[in-house]
Amino acid sequence: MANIVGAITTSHVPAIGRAIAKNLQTDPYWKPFFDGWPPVHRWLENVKPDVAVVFYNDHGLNFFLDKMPTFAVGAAPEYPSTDEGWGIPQVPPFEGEQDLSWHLIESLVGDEFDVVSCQEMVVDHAITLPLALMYPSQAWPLKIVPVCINTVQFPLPSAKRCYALGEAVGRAVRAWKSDARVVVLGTGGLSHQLDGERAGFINKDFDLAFMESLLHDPRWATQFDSKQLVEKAGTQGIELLMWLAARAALGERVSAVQSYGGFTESRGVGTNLFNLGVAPSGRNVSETGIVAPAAEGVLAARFGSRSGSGRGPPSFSRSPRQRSSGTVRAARTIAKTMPESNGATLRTRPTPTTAPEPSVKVAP
Amino acid sequence: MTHPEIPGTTLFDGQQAMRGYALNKMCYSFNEAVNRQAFLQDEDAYCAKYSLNPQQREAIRERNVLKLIAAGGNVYYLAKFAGIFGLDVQDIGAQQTGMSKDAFKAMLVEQGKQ
Repeated sequence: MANIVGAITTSHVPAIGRAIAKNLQTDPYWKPFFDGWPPVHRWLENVKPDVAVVFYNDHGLNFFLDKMPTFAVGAAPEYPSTDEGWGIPQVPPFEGEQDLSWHLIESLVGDEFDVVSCQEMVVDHAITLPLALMYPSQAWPLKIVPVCINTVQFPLPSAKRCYALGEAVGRAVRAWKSDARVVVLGTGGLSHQLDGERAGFINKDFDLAFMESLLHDPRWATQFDSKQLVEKAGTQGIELLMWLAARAALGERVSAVQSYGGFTESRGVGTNLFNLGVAPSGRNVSETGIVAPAAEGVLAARFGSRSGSGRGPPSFSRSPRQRSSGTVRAARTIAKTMPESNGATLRTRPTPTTAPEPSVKVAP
Repeated sequence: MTHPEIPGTTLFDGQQAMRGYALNKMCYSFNEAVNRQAFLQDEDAYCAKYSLNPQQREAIRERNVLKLIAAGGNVYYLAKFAGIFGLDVQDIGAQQTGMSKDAFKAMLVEQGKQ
């Protein structure tokens, strides 16, 4: 049976794509953001996932309003990256894992998630950017199965339903007759709004609470309906549904998290590392999951400007060793603040402990 | 469940989707460079091809995002229209909030500090 090795969630800020295309990763303006990824790269190098199941939302590239599925699963041999209309560079196509696609479709429909299947599908920045951040060479070492959740047209699926979808995907992957190592991705968010007089809306408190909930209380956000989530997180912030589904796919085995995060002038960037208590492979807790949050509108704003160049280096702070209740065994937060930030950090609930040092090491 | 209105926010629901179908369909076409070029070469003809109503045509002519939303536009598709003119989400945000782009950015900074 296939093995879920962990989950990565991240924002899919278009400006990141332009920075990658221009090789600005070490530019003082961009460096703090890209410096967050080497720990993810080391994890990927260690775990070597064969397949990524990607929860994402299409932005008017593959789907138009003529046919707008609530949930759609890709079943294509290949997923091309095509012109999105506003200049983001394209990337090499992704190879599809069709056997898993059809297994997922069979399993989900059997589970009463009546998904749309897509044998042709083009993918936009919600897939290309996270994969390009994970694999900067863009020589994709893994196949993908996209799972698209509608965030374009109301009614949207509820957070509760998306969580249940994620759980069903997790069950299906674990039942897939394969020895593949599968990573689950969730891309989008956090709070931002592009449209209306409320454009530019950000809710930092909500973002922090949501990130916290992914570790300690992953169903927390399912108490809100879609309109409440828009009110709290913005019309595009509701992309956090992807994070919920990805987190749900991990199941209850998450035993630890590492995170770093900071708030730029507009939104946060960071990485959380979820650890499984005992991974099915018998490997230790360092080979589990990662959540890399970076909010979109914020980063688009932050990185869309050159005003941040040349500021001081990012500061780091590290919380004490922590221990949490339940299945959460150990957690550490490495907080990384961006230039111009107010130093806000994303923290897990610290509880003094004498537990052994977690085996996870993430260099700042 | 009933919800109070969210200030400054138009949820893109079925009513909006029907109202804006032609407008969004035109904007969706801007995924392709050849269509962006055709729009620039003859805006009137291109809008006529997609049967925009007068409200939509006027909003396109004015490049006015709030009016485009009022005419049924969805921001994911409108972004492709804005892209023709090299406008990014900050430009769009500044226009909708009546701020300069710098003031809009400053507003974002302030929210991050709260």
